[in-house]
Amino acid sequence: MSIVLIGSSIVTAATFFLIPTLGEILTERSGILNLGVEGMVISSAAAAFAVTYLTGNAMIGVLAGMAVGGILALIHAILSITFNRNQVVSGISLTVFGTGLSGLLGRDFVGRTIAALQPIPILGLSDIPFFGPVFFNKDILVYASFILVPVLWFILFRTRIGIVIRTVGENPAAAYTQGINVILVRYLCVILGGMLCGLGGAYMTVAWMPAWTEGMTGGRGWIVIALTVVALWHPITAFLGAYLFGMFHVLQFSFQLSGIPVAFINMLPYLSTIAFLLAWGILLNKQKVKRIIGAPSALCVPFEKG
Amino acid sequence: MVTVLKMQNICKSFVGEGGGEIRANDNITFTLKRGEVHALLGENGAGKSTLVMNLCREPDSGTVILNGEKVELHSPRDALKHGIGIAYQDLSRTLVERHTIAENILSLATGFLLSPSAIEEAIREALVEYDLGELDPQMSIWKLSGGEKQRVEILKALITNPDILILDEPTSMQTPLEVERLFSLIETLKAQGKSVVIITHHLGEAIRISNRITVLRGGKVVDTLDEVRVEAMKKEPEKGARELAQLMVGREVLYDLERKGLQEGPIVLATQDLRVNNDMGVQVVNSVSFKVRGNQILGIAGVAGNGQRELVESIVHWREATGGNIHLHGEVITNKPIKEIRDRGVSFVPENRKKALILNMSVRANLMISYYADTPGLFVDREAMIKKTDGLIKRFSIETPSPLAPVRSLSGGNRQKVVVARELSRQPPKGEQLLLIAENPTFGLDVATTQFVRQELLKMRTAGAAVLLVSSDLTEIMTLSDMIAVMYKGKIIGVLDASSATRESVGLLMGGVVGETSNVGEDELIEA
Ligand SMILES: Nc1ncnc2c1ncn2[C@@H]1O[C@H](COP(=O)(O)OP(=O)(O)OP(=O)(O)O)[C@@H](O)[C@H]1O
Ligand SMILES: [Mg+2]
Repeated sequence: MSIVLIGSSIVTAATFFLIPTLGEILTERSGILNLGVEGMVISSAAAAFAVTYLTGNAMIGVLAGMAVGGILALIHAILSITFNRNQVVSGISLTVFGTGLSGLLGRDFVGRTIAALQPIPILGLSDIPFFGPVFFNKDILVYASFILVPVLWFILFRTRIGIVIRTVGENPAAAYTQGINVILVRYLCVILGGMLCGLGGAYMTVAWMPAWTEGMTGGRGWIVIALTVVALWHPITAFLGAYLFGMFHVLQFSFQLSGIPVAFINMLPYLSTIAFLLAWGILLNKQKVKRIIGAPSALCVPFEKG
Repeated sequence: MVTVLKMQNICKSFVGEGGGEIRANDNITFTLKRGEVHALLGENGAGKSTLVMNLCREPDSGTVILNGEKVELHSPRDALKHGIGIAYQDLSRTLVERHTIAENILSLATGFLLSPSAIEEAIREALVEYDLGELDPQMSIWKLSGGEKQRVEILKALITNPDILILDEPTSMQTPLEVERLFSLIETLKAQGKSVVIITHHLGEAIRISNRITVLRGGKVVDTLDEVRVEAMKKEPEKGARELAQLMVGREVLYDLERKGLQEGPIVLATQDLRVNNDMGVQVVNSVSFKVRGNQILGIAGVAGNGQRELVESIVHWREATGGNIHLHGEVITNKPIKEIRDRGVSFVPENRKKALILNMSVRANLMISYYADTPGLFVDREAMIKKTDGLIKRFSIETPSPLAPVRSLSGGNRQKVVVARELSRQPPKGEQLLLIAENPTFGLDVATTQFVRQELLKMRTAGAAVLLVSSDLTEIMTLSDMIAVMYKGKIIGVLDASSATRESVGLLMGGVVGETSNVGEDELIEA
């Protein structure tokens, strides 16, 4: 494989990791853990494929994927925010449910093909050697992911709604006593986060590998959960992390001939997740550091008024 | 004067863990006039916080009348809209530890974009305007002392420019100087025609600052003292305080503690050149040496934040000592495992109750924590535990609907009683004295409980224990200690014999002013 091709596939795989991770960051920043990423991603992948096939319009398919992601997230929101149910249980149920749902949605579309989203070269940038074809000759969703990273960063750290979201995730009572509608903020974050997971799922079937086979995400939604932790709930580090994981993902194919067992290479994303968690664990174990970075303090803690 | 707020026939109950009903507010009627300061007094659990919370949460029954109009206040948002600003008691529910002061005051974040510099500027201006002392808006909350956090909470309420300001125990962690400042601020607000409700356990403060005083007991109003009676109390605050205490408790409160002269016991705890860092890695305990004997209370006085917390935490190894040594009964225990230190007969009542309690677990479980290991083998002697904990609940009169109620559901004072009960009832190994370390043990407690805890400390002293008392409350230090060491900027800058120390001499040292008298007894204390 040419180096450009490898680079280009890394960007593609990374985009698939990146978009749902941004969604999960938004969700967790508001204090809700959504372990249903895998379920949301795979259902929306199926939905996006089916709708694209039926309408012949990939953008409508993408919107359908986002809608499915949002609706599934809404279920999680209702259970965990309105009814204060255990977020871990609810999230895992969502994954199981979503996996089943994807089979149903995609049932009639196995083996069909659609026209994938076409690359749109960016004038001026796409001619740069190596970087041009790798980064700037991609489809619109890849560009969207480039924009989403700074946008999410900006929203979280430079706007009023951002400080409100972070306060809700750190100490919902503190937000509530200052007149913030904690429930509303959490609902919005969870649903928007779900829609981003849906966007990631749609990206898989309408841009990356335009076909539908059952279980095609292959558990990669779980990497998103790990990536959120590895990225320390920050969009910029999520970007770096997603590209690193994208690299592992692509290497797994390119190294198949090199004599390193495939099974080992398959392990790399998971192994690196463990390595990262261990590294953070050692580096961030100091009281002082913990007080500055780490999981949102109210993550998984239901909010009760008064 | 016009009545701005009237709370009429307010009832609010909670369901206790055992299914029993706690009538936190039982048919309470409370009025607030324009331009008055109205103090709300009562024991821990009397229902003071619950009453003011009815301004941001629906009561079970009763009406709230604001400026002559009946209003329904469902949430803090409604309260804010109606010009009610509340500085809450439980700061863990109102401040975000990880965020800066600027990020904590959401009402300053207006518009879509967040402008940290504008918010910080607004805070600096407000600090000057309200004379709330030094606070760096860029400082994270977790780095602040308790008193500073309280000031942030007050600032947060003030910045919304409320007509009615509610202060729920705003002074419990403040230094005398800061209390003065707050009081002159309250006077200014009053002059502007604003109304203030203040909840406090310091009866002297209440008499000084307020126009009227309402006393609650067991969820009911015992009495509302009008301007005339409060004015009379201002002339004789000592007598007034006794009268108020009696109203609160419903019986005569033991006000004078008896401290017998005792023969000093053997040295129990000694530190040598102890050095400790704070959370930021800055050394805040600089070569501190002292010793505490059996039958002795060593009071460590000082303005909060001068290294006292780090000092005591290093003794029980909640925190690493970076240099020097700690001797318990002559043996080095520096940085030994916490359990080993505790098993040698060390009890600790920390100021931070959250760290001493598991809020979601029952009162019984919390009381038992220290005793699980007492029964040998794999199993816990449940019967004995139940008997023991029930006994403690009774002896320390912990007010809880049931021993199985989670500690979270208790009032602040009763939570502290759980800690005190557990720590004071521990037994040292045979033939040795207990070392009791108490860090602001009566912070936030009502008069009766405060006196009770102090009495218990004295009893421990009589029983032979060595007591290390760290307190920023000068009265507490003066009434309990045999020796007084004053900490300033990480050093013990003076040691006084309690019999010769005066409020003034200790107060000066707390401010860092070293006079001639300061070295009295220091040699005796360090020579160990
Ligand atoms: N959210 C709650 N759930 C259950 N019980 C509660 C709750 N809030 C208060 N209580 C109970 O109501 C009673 C009154 O509590 P409140 O906090 O009003 O007391 P307080 O007078 O403010 O005491 P303190 O001086 O300790 O702050 C207490 O018995 C307390 O245990
Ligand atoms: Mg209270």
